[in-house]
Amino acid sequence: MKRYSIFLICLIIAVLSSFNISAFAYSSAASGIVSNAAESPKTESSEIVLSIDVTERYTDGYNQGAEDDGTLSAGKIVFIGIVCLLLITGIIIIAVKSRYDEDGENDR
Amino acid sequence: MICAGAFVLMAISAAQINGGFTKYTVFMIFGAFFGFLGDYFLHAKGSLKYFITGLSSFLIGHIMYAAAFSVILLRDFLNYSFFGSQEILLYAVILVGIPVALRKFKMKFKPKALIIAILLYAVVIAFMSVKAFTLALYCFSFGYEFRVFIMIFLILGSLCFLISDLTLAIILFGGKKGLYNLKIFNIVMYFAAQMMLASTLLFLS
Repeated sequence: MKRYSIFLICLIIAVLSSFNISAFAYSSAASGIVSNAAESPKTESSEIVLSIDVTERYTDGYNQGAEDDGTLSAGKIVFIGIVCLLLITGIIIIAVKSRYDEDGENDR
Repeated sequence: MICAGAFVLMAISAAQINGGFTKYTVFMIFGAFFGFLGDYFLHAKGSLKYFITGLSSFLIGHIMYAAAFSVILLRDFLNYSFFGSQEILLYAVILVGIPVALRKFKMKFKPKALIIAILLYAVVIAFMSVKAFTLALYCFSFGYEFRVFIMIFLILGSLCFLISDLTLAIILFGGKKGLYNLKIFNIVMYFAAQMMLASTLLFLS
């Protein structure tokens, strides 16, 4: 039982910290709108185009939720990512339970 | 780093659940540990030196994973051939896909010599994925206990690793450094891959 608890605690730590990192990347994306706009005058002409492009994408994603260029906004990616990780965590927990039940049967 | 450390602990505790340490579990735990080191070096500093060290750590990690899968394939399946025709075909498909991806996403490498390191890494991760796929299919077709979980964790885990590394290459060399949605996608894929590969230790030893 103790070994299973340790595994589950590690799983929960891994999932929570991955949420945390995703949220950090998401907040960086939000601040990226400001920094890109601030940095663009200092960059070379080819880089300015990229900066404006990136800023437009984020602005679309945050303010309107629009996807004119077919790319998903950071917010939606975070949401899909969290759902995927929860799904995988669910599968791992079911796997752990199956393993635990099997061990219980063997003990009996 | 906490997350990467959790993968190593997950692998160790899963090995404990499954009856202790064998060749397979030791290789897998070392694989997770080198992933932990790679994670550290890739995020510690943005310099080329740290990038190469991080890449090398991940490379060794993938070699460890491939060695772990090969250990079970060679030990448990007498009819398994290390260079089987199906494996070579799958390997070729993945390897052909790499230059196609390089061209499609217009990746540029500075310095140019970096492409050699990237290609070497691609060859190793493709090798690891092929071994994971083969082990999953063998375990499934030979009626292993918990074969469905083994198949899900091995196939999805290695697939997530491939997608995660491709995304990272697009971010770093395809001129998409500013795209945070790609970064988030990369993070999710990487975590999912490590979690699933560590979970294989619950059933394989």
